[in-house]
Amino acid sequence: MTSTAEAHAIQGERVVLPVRIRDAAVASAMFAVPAAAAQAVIAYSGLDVAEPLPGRAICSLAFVRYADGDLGPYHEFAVAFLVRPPGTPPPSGPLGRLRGLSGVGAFIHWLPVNQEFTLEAGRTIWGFPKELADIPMDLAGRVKRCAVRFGGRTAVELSVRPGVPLPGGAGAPKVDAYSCLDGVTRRTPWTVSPSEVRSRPGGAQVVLGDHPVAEELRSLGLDRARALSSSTIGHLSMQFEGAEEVRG
Amino acid sequence: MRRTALVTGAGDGLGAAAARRLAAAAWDVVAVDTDEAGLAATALRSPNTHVRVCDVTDAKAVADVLAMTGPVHRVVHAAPIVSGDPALPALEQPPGEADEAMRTGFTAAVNVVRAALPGMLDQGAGELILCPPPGRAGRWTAASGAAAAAVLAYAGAVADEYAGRGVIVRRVLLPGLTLMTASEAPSKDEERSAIGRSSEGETPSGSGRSSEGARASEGGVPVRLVLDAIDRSLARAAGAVDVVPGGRPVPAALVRRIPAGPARRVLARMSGPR
Repeated sequence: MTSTAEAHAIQGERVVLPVRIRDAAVASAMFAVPAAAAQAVIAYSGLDVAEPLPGRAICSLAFVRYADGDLGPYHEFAVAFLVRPPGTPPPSGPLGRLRGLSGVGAFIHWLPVNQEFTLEAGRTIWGFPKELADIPMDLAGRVKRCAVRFGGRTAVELSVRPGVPLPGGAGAPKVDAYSCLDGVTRRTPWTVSPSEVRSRPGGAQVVLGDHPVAEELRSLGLDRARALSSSTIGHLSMQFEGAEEVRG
Repeated sequence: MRRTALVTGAGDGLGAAAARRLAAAAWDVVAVDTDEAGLAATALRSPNTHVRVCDVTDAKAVADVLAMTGPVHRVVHAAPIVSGDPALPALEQPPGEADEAMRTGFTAAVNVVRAALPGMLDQGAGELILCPPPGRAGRWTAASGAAAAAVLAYAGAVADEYAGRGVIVRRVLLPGLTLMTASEAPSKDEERSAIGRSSEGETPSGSGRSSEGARASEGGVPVRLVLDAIDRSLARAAGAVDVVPGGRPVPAALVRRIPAGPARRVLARMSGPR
């Protein structure tokens, strides 16, 4: 069903695919979490978490400011897990695990946003698990901070400390984003072109509130874990193709 | 509670980027410009951005916008200063160029301050950010630079006069705006002086730019870095009035001296008793 001519009607606007994001800024952190617990969290998708190390899965938290893009300006928070492409067997042996990492996708488990247009577009076009929240963030200071709040109650807070500049990579990596909304699992081809990237080991702090997703993250130990790495991206452009359904 | 921001020059460049960033942060944004198509592009798919076609050199038009919005919590004045061809030196500029620069630079800023500041003082809170960029090719002329300097001096005086009343004033020394002494005259560094008229930042370092509108931030500091500097400055309420994106300490030191002393008295005489 992926088609470059695809278009969707969202709130009276015609959104043409691929959707382009011309300027966004990001801060994120990756955590190694118990694979069994992570698998339980995403079991509803029919996908399997990737295990780069035996018994460990990768959970990623990120916050994004969309400053200029086809879905309007908004803030977003993301909870994602690295997953194996559907239908591939679990890799075996250290080399196999390493090789297996090259094909991994990102399963988007939770994606609160703070604007209506992108809420409807994200759910309709790609089945992204967007919901409306207050998402204050500070991406200008040394330490990047973000909170997700519902009616004044904090669900999650993430802060990311500054890292060291990474050399700019050439080309635009292609990733597959997976999502599962209303029982339908979808794959979305996703191209990212980051610049002004800084990264470091550790460097992230997570505060969890009383939201169901916060409970899940607590069950993974995220409020106590040291991050594998955290990074910031000063300028990111992205492109999202149409989604296609994944059959398990 | 939703906060309201007024952004001038919101049809393009710095103002458009500022408006979008505030909209992303869930502010109610009143985006103002004379460029209706540019405003529409800024407000695209942004339900909390409200556009108003308004010429900020017209005091009544600005007052009318504020009468409609009510008190705003933040003003980002980024309406560009219109002046001559930045490739030409002062004497080769067309007649009236300096008047135009003062009208679109200094007069416009005064109009915006006079319209927005009373509401902020009433509320005992507000953020007034003055950062008019050069209008053409993202580069300063002698006259547009002088008009910008007048805006900075005015902002400094306003910050002094209304200090302690809850209003945070920031004046932004945009890249390339040097209050030039002869030794600071641009040479090779001049290419770095452009301030982008679009939010795109990734262009190879500038060379051979024609006088046609500067896309992105050709050779200059990307507008998002200017906005980052403003955000950082606002995070410290008691911080300095001056915001210097990309850090250019020497010109900053020069500007800082303007509002104190003679320049301020000159300004006081120019604006006269009310």
